[in-house]
Amino acid sequence: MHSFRVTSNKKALFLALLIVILIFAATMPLYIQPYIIISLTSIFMYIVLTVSWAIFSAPTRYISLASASFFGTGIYVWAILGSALPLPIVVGIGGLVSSLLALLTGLLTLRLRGLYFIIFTFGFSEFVRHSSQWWEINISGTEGRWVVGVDHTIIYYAMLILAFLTLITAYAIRRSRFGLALQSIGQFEEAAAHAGINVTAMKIMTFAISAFFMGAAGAIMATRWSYIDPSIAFSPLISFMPVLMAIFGGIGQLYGHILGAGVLTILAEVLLTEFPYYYMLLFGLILLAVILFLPHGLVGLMEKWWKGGLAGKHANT
Amino acid sequence: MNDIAKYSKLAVCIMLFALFIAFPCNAHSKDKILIGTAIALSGPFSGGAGMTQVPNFDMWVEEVNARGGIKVKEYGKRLPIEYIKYDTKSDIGTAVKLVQKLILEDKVDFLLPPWGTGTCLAVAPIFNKYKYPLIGPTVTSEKLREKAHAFPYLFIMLQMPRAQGAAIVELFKELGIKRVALIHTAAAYGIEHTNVIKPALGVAGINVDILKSFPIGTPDLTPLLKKIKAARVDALLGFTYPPDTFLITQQAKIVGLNPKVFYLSVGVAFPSYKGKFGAAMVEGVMGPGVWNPNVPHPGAREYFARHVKRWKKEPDRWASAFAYAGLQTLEQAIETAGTLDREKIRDVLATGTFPTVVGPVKFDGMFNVQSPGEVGQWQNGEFEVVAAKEKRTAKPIVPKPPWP
Repeated sequence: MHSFRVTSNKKALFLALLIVILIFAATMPLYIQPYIIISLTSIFMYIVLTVSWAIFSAPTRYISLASASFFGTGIYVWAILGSALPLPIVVGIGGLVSSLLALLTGLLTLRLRGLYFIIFTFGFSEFVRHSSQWWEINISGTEGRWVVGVDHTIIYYAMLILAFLTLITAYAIRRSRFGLALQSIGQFEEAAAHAGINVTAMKIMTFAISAFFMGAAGAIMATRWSYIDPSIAFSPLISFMPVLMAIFGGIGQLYGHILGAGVLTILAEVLLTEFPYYYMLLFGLILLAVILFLPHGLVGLMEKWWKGGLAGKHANT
Repeated sequence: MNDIAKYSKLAVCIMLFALFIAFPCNAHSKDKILIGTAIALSGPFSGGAGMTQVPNFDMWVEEVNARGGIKVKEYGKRLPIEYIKYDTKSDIGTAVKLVQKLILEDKVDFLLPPWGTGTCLAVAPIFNKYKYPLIGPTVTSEKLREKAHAFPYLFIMLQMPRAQGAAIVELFKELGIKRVALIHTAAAYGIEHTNVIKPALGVAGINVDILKSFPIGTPDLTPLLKKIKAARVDALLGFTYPPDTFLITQQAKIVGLNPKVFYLSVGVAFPSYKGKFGAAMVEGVMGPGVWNPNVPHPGAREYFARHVKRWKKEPDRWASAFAYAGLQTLEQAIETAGTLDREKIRDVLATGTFPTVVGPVKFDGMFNVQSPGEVGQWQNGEFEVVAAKEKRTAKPIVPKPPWP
């Protein structure tokens, strides 16, 4: 889909730009108001969720609505271990436990396709939510848990690092033979199988990798919420937002996922605080407009602009 | 298309981003008091919030501003209130973020409480961190007792499960109840009350024949209600949230479940409960609370009249009055402290006594010890106080009359 080849010169420039952005992001808490740091943390969280969702779902075209179960698992890992172990370790464990859960469900479900898979993953999320609710009420004798809170600057850095790692992983997978194999699964699964790709193993592995980042993100976000219960931790919203954000930004491109997560998070907050009574209506209308008029998402729009203005849009097609 | 054009476009993007980040915040001069709240205007909590809190917040702000504002000695004048209201969508993550926005970006002077136990518990650490008093009218949690020392800025208006449970058990003993079916919503409210009341019933020699929980918003409870009917218990004791309260009332009539005592929780005290089913059908139904315009506290009757006039609907007979009393308490604490310094206001709150529409509010630790009543019963279209015994505005009607 890239219209120009990346020469070594451009690569260097791109790297330099990346480093500048990173330095900027890393020093941000020193001179920016705290609330913007908190907002950026939310954006990073959604970038992690969207990009990690897309690691699996974009190339294979298996739309997963199980994100909430992996994210929530991470939250509960923090709730249980947060007071005992340091943050990076708990975040790692959160990711691993979520991965494990994804492996198990992957074994069960990744033989399903299309609509069946979508429905199953959503059902799975709800199943996890209700079972943990049952567990909390009947075994723990409570509903919510207080969790150990962490300063918002630390949450910011943790999320920044995780977002960075997620992006590197997503980029590396796209560029590898592994990524190509995933794409071939999405395009024609039988053909991929006949070409000697172990499709089931590939799918399960990718599903688990994607779940790792969601779980880790959950473990970090739990520190901000300070009180959690199953309906907070496994909120169905978390399953739907990454899908919407990826579509909004443009599902084919990595930077589309970043753009979608960023723009939609900011948009949601502006709408929510400026128009509390029309929030849902406006949000829905904007999503509808993007899906109807921008089939390639924001990225499609930007690429047109990039290539020489919106006016000449027929020249390229 | 050359590279220079491309990178200049990129530069434009980066600059726009930088502008967004560096957006300056508003400076506030002290000619007004900025008060904010993040509360459920949509989603499953909005029914409760829109009944007990939002109308009282709005009305109180209007009343205070009609008086010219809150008198603050430090500034030698009355400061009117500017009021910011955000929607949490009934989502706790959003609530946490919006409270942070109100504190850090909007730089409000005071915050009004969100609705519901879970949300209040979730935002309490933030209120505490930035030293904002949280005077919660819709929080009931025994778990808070062990945490009280960690939350010096948290003040709870409503009766706690312990007080509520003691009153229920006392009333049941008086009425000769021997066997009960205890059901509850699987939410903090239901769980905590059950945890406290079940052992208390046991101590009083009252048997819990059926104990069952169900998720909030369960669409059909008839199987459970039939089971309770078959068990022929003396009392149905339900720690429920509004959707369940309405559903159980309707379905109990359908299956013909009519024990001597019929007690459900959040929602029973709503005027819309009486409004939906009619005074005849709710006759004899008991619920927690309770407040009504006949309680012997100054301003109660006037508050009721103002609420009816302003909103063309009655306030509910429980937390509405507590929500309004919480606002009265805050106002008095600010005026007594004579400053907008929240640390000083907290100290006033922790030690003072504040006359309100629910009576003289006084906090023991973080818990308000004053309540106009614990158990109410619909009688002739009014939610009368039937427990505790000394607070009664009417005698309990037992057994509950049959469904009409």
